[in-house]
Amino acid sequence: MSPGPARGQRALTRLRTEGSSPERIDQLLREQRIPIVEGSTCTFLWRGEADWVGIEHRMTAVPIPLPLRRLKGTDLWYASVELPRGARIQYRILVRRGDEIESMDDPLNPRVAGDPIGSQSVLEADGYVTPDWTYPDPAAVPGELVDLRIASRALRREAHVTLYIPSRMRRDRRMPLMVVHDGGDFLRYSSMATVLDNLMHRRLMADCVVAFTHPGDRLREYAASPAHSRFLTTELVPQIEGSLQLVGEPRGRVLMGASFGGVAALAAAVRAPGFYGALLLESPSLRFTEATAPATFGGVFEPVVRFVNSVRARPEKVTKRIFLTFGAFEPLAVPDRAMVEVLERMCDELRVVEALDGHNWISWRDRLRDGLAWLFPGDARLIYPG
Amino acid sequence: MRQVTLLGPLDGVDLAAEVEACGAAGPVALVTAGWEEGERNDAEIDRRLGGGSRNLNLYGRRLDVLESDVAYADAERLLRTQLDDLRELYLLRVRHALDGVDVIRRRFAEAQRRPGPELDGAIDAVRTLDESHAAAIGAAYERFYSQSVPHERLSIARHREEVAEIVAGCGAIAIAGGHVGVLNDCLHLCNLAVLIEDRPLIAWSSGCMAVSERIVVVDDGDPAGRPDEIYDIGIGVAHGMVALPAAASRLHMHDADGLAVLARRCAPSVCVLLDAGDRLELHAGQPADLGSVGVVDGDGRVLRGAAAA
Repeated sequence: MSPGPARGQRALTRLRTEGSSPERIDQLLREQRIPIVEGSTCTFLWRGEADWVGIEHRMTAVPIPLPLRRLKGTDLWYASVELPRGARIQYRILVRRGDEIESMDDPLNPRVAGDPIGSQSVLEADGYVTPDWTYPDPAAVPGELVDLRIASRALRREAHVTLYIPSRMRRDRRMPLMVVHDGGDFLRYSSMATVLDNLMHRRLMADCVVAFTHPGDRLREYAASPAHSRFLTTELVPQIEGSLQLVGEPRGRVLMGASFGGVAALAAAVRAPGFYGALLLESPSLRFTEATAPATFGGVFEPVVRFVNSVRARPEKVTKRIFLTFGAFEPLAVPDRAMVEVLERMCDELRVVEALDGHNWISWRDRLRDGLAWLFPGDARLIYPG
Repeated sequence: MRQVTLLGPLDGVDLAAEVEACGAAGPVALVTAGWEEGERNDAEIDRRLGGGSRNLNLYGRRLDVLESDVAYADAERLLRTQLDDLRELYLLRVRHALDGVDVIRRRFAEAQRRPGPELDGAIDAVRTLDESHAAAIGAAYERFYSQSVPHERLSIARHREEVAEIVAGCGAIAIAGGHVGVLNDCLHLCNLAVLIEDRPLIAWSSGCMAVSERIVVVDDGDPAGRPDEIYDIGIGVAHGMVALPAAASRLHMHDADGLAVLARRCAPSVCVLLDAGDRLELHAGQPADLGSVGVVDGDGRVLRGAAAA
């Protein structure tokens, strides 16, 4: 990905050719979807008076922030980038007036994605399509969401868990259990209940009980905390397995997490080798150091770096399968890529999917089908027309 | 001699004409167990069969058995776990063995040579896995049936009697498609192979798979990346063939190498492609007049008509 060539600015070229009057600019903004996507060239636009305008983003090989240029004699600012087909990125507009810098959603772009920190504008490159299995399907009977409170001795707090019970309970089968970190965020920002409903309805994944956990002090508990690992392995999983018709064996236990949640999932598996049959790791924050001290990345990362360094020093098999995904446009792509070799030695089978997206909940949502269909293969291939 | 007619998915097929052609003396006993919870949603198929069909309700009966006979349900869950474990390892090993086949093919292609015994050996390795998996499935069933003798279980015996009584009053049996695994389990539970006797049988879609000796599942677009597999043992009414319904949508038909491997894995049984509109009659349980039905040969070619025969 790189700043775009002039040939990509076709709409802007037309504007220049036809005269960039305020009326022409109004017309351009009315008629075009912003950012303008012309083949692989994507052009950001912002209109207004400012001393400087830029794009805050995580794209690699593009200046961060990406400065916008002012179209001569107008109040229209622009910058183009080249994006591969199917890519999707999230960004914010930075506007400096005097000493003040304002960060905002793109006022010309109605597509916005939310996360626990706030919102970001969304650029969908040519070829990106929101997967149909992420939308509610009236034909899919929704699973039941049940809130549980578990008094955790390990965490020294009451743990809140939202249990997803699939709509179809077969009497001749025991179901697997998947524990999801940051459960509330996955439900809210990645529409995960809808995704599960649809994938199970279409038999693309096996029916499965899912425990969405809600963190307390997230950055402490998920940073490879032994107490959190203990909570999962000795409290949460046994309690749920004791109350439902579940497989109750390693092959029926999966841990999932994104970002820091991915660290928590891997740490729990490392502390209980063989107890979990698989891991689904999305953009795990697997920061490590080669030569410097673990403190290099700052306080919250210190225990993570210590943990990852120890795993890298002596990778041992802890589970059967690991599904790893991360975005090509996120800073964690570099350490996550470097961890592939290590993770390969920690399981029998590793599958890696590098997405043309970033570190965000929509990217993690869009990869769920790949991960869940691989870890919980469904019966779709056994079903033929009636 | 029993007349067996196998059809592809039903698009546009005149089922009533098929019933008439097989000379059924009496109503049709209908199996829609592959539709699972939708088993009784059979009004449309009844109409297409000419009306008056008797649904054997095999899916509902199986649920009733699992509900009422807890010990049997537990034993069957254990069997499923054993079969799942066998299948997981088998698929893993087959995938690697098929990778071996690909490597041989590529290496010879790069050298612009035609692989001979090397490819045969690689495919034989896959066949060995297929055979040992089929044997392991058979052994698991044998253990299960010796420990949980179905006809000695009250609930199963009662359902078998009821099904036998209905079938006795019918002139033909029709088996629909749907979930091939569920359908097969239901056919076995109610011992339908014995009840079919000399009655004409019409099966379509995955119904054709379940009445074969082996159920081979193919799906080149599987999101989990699973290879073609010996999935289960059918009720064995059709011999010497592997039924591949909806093949056009499940197999990459342009991939002659892939088709060749599939055909050679299944040999000496013949891979029969059963797409919508295809029709195959069996004589003495064996494919007879192939008509326009495609079969795959050892070179991955799809042969039809005289060439196929």
